[in-house]
Amino acid sequence: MPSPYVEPLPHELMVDDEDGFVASVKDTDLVYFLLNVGDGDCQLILLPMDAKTERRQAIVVDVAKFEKLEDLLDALNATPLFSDEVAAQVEKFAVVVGTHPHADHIAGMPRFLDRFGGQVGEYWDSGYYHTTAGYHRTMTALEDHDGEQIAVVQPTSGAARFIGQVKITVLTPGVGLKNRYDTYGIDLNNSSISLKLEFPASRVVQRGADRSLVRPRTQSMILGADAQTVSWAQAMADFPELRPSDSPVAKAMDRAQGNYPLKANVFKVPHHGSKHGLNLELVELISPAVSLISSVSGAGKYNFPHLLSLESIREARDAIASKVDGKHDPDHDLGIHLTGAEDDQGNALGSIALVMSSTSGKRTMWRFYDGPGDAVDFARARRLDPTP
Amino acid sequence: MTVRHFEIGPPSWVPRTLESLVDGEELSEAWAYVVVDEIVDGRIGLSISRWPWLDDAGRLRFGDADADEFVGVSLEHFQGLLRERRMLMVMTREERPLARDAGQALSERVVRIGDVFAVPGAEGGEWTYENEFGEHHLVVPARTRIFDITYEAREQAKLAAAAAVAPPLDEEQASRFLGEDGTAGTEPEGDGPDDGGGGGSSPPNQPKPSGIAPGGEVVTAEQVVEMSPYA
Repeated sequence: MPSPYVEPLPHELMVDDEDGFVASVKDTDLVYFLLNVGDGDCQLILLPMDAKTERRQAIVVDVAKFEKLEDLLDALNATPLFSDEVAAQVEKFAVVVGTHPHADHIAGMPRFLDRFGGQVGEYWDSGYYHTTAGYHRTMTALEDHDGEQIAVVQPTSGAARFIGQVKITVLTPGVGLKNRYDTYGIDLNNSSISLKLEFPASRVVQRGADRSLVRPRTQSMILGADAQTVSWAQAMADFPELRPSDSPVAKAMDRAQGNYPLKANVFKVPHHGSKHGLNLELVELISPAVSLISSVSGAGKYNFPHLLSLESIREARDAIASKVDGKHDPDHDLGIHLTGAEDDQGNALGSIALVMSSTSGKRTMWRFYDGPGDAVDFARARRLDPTP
Repeated sequence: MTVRHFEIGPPSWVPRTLESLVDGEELSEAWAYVVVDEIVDGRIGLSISRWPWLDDAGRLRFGDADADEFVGVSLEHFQGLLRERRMLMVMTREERPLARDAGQALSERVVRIGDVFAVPGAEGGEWTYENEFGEHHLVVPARTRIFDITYEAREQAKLAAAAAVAPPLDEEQASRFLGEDGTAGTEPEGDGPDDGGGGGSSPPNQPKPSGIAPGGEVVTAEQVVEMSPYA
């Protein structure tokens, strides 16, 4: 039974594309997959082809269900997008992130590491040692690759990593919060590693003996893991909006120049849309054109997504005070999409792929109509038209 | 790429604080390893697994992940269960016994994320049941204790994390890089009342298990056995 809080997507907005999903992706595009795993997270990011190596690398953020990701990787291997010929040979996965040690995020991680561990460059861990069986299995899988093959990193806010044309900044956990883990009792959702990805990142361009720093028009996304308001409060302190004045002109200039550290085009909503995962002020700061929620629709143990969260996103994108009729625009106009959502004909929409252009700033969303237990089938992909 | 494989199987993990309880026997797979995984809105998310084994590297190994259970139970009900049944296990030294008020405080300690309980298996192997209101509760056989082994389980989690971040040293490497006998400073820092580690001169006696019974009474391992029929 779909949640009454989640609006079904009008069927006519999903269109068949004669080129199909695979053919539509350019070498310079970043492809973000948010897999439909029910109440859990499993994300794969295919980075744009590296300008120097002409290879693609990927980032994996959480593996709730290994089979789902394995099927996708096997399917990609049969395409030009991420075949063994196109992918970087040794470090196919530049970074693998276990955002925090809850089973709905890392249950599939041991099997992923068993199969792909030799192709993983770095494993990012929250640093929160947990006592569950799933945590032990993950640590054992990491150790069994001798620790020298996979560098285990415990990043905190402000840490930055450049991979090809992509800059990754760690937003949470703040170091102050991380230092409190050992006091025991910190909600481990708040140990979540949340990330901001920006691409194409600023690069030095060499012209003969001259070099200059080029700041291209970037696209950005924030992957919120399960960080909750305690963690976001620290992020808002760690990443303040610095501007010389509050005048409208200064604000407009800052906005144009992108000096808002927490602003992003795409927001993977924290904690499956939990009421503890965000608030209005945070969404206003991020100001996302697209908000993606990894969640079943109105079922599961915790009845995610919560109405309070959905309303915070709606309100941040479309303030009710400015509306004559007192109603928000439809969710699809506000860029709100759930893995567990259906269209208005009752079709499950399933996993999401967002193809983001590094050259035009354009985004294209695809849906694969898969259930949590199904493999992603590229042949079933349909395109959202238009994608915000 | 080097991938090491370890045999999983006997012996089962017997926390030091439970050694006298099982008297040389192993904890069977029927015991449940219960972790407080989440606390939200008056409910507790419990992660329940079959009792772990030790591999030949001394690591906790758990069976098939598909056998793990995750249930939400009432915080109030669970706290009530602990007030009646919890035997909180700690290591103490004879010359530094736990004070009565410390025992009292520990016995009243509120449930926290990461707490671990060893629960003797129930007949039929069911770990949880659902009542007529659709609420889930932990199955605890009559007259058995719930053993709070948080202190040792957290120590094991720290070991697992530390070994994943940097590979363990063998004795020769430890001797070369850590100190003359390879043991200086290697005892993990615990968070129990007396973890047996830390600096200063070593006390003459090794730490021994003690229990803190409901109400805060500090009891010896032998008394724990008397108070804990479980088979």
